[in-house]
Amino acid sequence: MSISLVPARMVWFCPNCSLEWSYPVKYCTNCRKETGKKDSSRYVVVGFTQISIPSPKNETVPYYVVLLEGDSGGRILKKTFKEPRLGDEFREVLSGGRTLVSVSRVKYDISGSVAKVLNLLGDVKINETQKVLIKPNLSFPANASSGVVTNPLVVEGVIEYLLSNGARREDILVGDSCAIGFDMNSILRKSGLGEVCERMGVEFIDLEECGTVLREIEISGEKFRIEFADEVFKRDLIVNLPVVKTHFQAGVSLALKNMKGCAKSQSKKYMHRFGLQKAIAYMNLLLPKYVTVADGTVGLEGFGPSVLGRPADLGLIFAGKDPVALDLTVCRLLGLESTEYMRLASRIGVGNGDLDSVSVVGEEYQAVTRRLERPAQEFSPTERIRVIDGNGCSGCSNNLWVALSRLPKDTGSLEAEVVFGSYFGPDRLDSLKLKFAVGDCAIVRMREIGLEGQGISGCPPETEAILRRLSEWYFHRRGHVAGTWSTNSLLRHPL
Amino acid sequence: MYIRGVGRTRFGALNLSLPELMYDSVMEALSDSRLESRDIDAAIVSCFAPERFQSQLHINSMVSSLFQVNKLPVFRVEAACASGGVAVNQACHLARAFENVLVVGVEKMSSVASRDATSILGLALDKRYEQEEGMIFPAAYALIAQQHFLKFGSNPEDLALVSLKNHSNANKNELAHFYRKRVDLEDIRNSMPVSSPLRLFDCCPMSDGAASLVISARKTCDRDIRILGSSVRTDNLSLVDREDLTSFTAARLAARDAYSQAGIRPKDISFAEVHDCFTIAELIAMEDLDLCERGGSAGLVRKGETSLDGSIPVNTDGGLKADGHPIGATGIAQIVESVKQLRGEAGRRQIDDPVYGLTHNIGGIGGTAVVHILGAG
Repeated sequence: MSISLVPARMVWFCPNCSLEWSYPVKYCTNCRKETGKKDSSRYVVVGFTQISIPSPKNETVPYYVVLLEGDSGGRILKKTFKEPRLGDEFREVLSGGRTLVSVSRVKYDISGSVAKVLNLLGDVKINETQKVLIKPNLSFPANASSGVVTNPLVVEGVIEYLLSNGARREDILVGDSCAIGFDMNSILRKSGLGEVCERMGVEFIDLEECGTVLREIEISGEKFRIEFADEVFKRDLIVNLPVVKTHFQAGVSLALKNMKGCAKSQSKKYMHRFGLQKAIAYMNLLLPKYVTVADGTVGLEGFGPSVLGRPADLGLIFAGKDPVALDLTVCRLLGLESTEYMRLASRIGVGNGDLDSVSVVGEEYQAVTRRLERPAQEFSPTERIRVIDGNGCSGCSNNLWVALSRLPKDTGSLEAEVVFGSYFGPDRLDSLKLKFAVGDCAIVRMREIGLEGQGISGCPPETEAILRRLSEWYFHRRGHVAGTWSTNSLLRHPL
Repeated sequence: MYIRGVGRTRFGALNLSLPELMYDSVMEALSDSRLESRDIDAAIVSCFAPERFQSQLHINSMVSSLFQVNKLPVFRVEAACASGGVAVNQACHLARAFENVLVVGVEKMSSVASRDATSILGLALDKRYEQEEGMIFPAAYALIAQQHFLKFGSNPEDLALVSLKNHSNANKNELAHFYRKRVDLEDIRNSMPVSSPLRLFDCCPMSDGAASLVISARKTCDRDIRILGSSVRTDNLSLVDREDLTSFTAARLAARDAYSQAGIRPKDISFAEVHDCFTIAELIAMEDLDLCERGGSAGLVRKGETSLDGSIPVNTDGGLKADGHPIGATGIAQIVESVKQLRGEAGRRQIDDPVYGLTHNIGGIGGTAVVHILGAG
C-alpha cells in the first residue's frame, strides 16, 4: 500500500494582492480583504541536510531535515530518518497493517490537521442522515492551553470536518460530563468550548443531565453494570475527543479512559470501587463503537489529570477507529508505559493490542517520538502526611491533591494519614497515626471498619475545606493557634 | 552620528559574569571616548537570551546598576544575532535626543552545555515550521549552502578557504576566541561533520563577551568615526518563506539603504565585517552587499581577494568564525573593529589606508539584517 504523505502546510493568501502568509491571517494586512487557504497535494525534495549532532528533543542522530516544495508553491521542512534524494516525491510506502493509527504534526492550522488524520483513516463514514456525538474531555475547569481539557479548536476542526462531509449541523451534538463536584457551565466558559459551540451553531449537552440507560456484562463470573447517558446510544456516530494526558490513578488518559465521561456520576464512583483499571476495560465492551481523534496539541505530563500536571506542548493530533491500538501506539510514541486497562481491553476483545499489526500513518514514527514525564506513583508534599488512595474518584482526589500542594513542604517523621475513596481496610492504615478521612465515601468506610479519625465531609469536599482542616491541624501541632495568619495566608490565594 | 569611543572584552569561555563583562567593555569605551560615566545620558543594551543562559531578565536595569548615580533611561534590544547591529541603529536615533548614548552588547553562552546552547539559539527559528521538525541553525545554513552549490557551483573547498582566512586573521587579534589556535586546510577538511555539507570548522563557536560604543551627534575630535549609513530591514521568520535561499532580501535592502545614505557605491568599500555565523554566510553576504556579482563570491575567495592584503578584506578580526560570536555583542564588536581599522589602530591586522568600512549583522536566517557604513570623521 502506498500513501502520499501530505504534510500539514496551509498557506493563507489574499486573492486581491496575492500576498501569502504561513500564519493564520483572516484578513489581508495590506488591503483588508478576506483571505483564502490553500495547500499542496504533492511535495518534492528540493534540499536536505544530514544532522550529526544531537540536541534536546533531537537526541537520536543522524537524522535528516528535508526541504520540500509543494505543487502550489509552498515549502515545508520535515524531519526524517530516511535518506532523501533531490527531486524525489515525498512519499511513504506502508507495510499494510490491519489497523491504522494516523498522526499529524499541528502547525498553525488545527482544522487542517484534524482533516488530515481523519482522511488518512480512509473510511470514516459520514452522511446527512447521521446523528453524531462529539465527546471531548471537559473534566475540570481549565483553559485550552493547560492540556487538561480538549482544545476547543480541535472540537471546531471536527465539527468543520463533519459539516464538509455532509453532516447536518442540527444533527451534531457535543457532550460530556465533568468530574464529580465540578460545574460544567464554568468548564465550558473557562475552556472556551462554550463559545465554539455557539459560534458553530451546535448544541452542547451535559451527559450527566440527560436520561439514563443501564448496561451490564458478566466476565469470568463477575458482574459489571454501568448507567450511561442515554444520548450515547441514540447516536449513529460517536467521535471521541480525549486530550493526551498522564493520570496519577489510571496511568494515562486517552481514548479508552475518556469514554468514562459517558457514565453517570454514581457509576463513576462504582468504577473506582470496582477497580478503575478493570472498569475502564469492561466499560468499553458495553459502549457502541466510536472513532477517536486524540488531542495532543498541548497535552499534559507529570501529575495529571488536572492542574497539578504540566502542559506538554506536543503539537500532535492522532486518530484511530480502534481505541486499544490508538492508546498503545500513543503510549509507545510518548515513552509512556501501557496501562493495565489497555492490556486487559486487548485481551477481552475491545480492540487490537498487537502493535506489530498496527500501521502508523501521517508522520514518520521516529521523527515524532517524545518522552512525557510520568506521574509519580506516590505524591505527598510533606513527609509528615501519608496519602492512602482508596480508589477514590477524581472529585476527591483532585481537590485533595490541590489542597496538599498548598501545605508547607518540609521534612520530618510521619504524623498523619489522609485517606480518600472507600476501597481500603485497616491493614493499609497505621493504627497509631492521626487519620483524616476526605469525602463521604471515606468517612462511611472508616465507620464500617471501626477506625477513629477526623472526617472532612462532602462529595467531594471543597479544596478550601480540606486545606483549612489540614492546615489547622498542621500549624496547631507547631504551636500556632488555629485561624492565625499561617492558615489564613494559605487560604488567601485564589485556587 | 559619531562614534566617540569603543571597547570590548576578549571573546571565549570566560570566567566573568554578565555584569562583569559589561563593566569591562563599558569602562574601556568610556576611557576611549575620554568621558566619565556621568557624561552618559542614555543607553541601549543588546542581549539575546540571558533568561535562558543565566536565568536573568531585566538586563536594562542591570546596566543601570553599573552606573549607580545616573538612573539612566536604558532600553534592551533583541533581534536574535542582529541584536547588536540593531542596538547601534537605535542608538543613532536616540542620539538625536541625548548627548552621549552608550551601546553595550553582551552574552554569556558558556554557562550551559553546548547542546543546550544549540537549542537556545534555535529559539530564533520558527517553532512550528522549523524547531519541531528538528531544525537547528547549522542545518538551516547547510540547506542554504546546498542551494548555493547547486545554483552557482561553489563547493565545500570554498567554505574551507573562508574558514582558513578567518582563523589566520584571528591569530593576529589578541581578543579573538581562537587567537591561539592554529589551523590548516587539512584540519578544516577533516573536522567533525555537523550538518552536511557543514563541518565543525564551518561553524562559529559559542562565546562569552561584551562590546561597547559611545555615540554622539557631535564630533568632538579627529578620532571620532562617522556613521555614514545605518539601516535595519526585516523579512519572514522562517526559511520556508524565503523567496530565494541563496540570498537574504533584508540584507540586500539594508545595504542599498546604507549605500544611499552614505552616498557611496559598493566598490568604494575598503573592508567589510560581515556576519559569518557559518562560512557559507560569508559568501552570501558578499553577494548581498554587491561586493561581487551573484554567485561570484567563491571566485573572490579562491583568488585571496578577501584576505588582509586583498582587494576587499573581509572580517579582518577573524569574523564570527574565529573572533567569536557572543550573540548580543557581535554586531557591536564588528563596529569596534571597523573603528580601529579606520583610525589605524588595528595593529597586525591593519589594512592600508581604509576610507569606508561596512558592517553586516544578520538575525536568524536573514529575518533581520543591519548594515552600517563608517568613515573617518
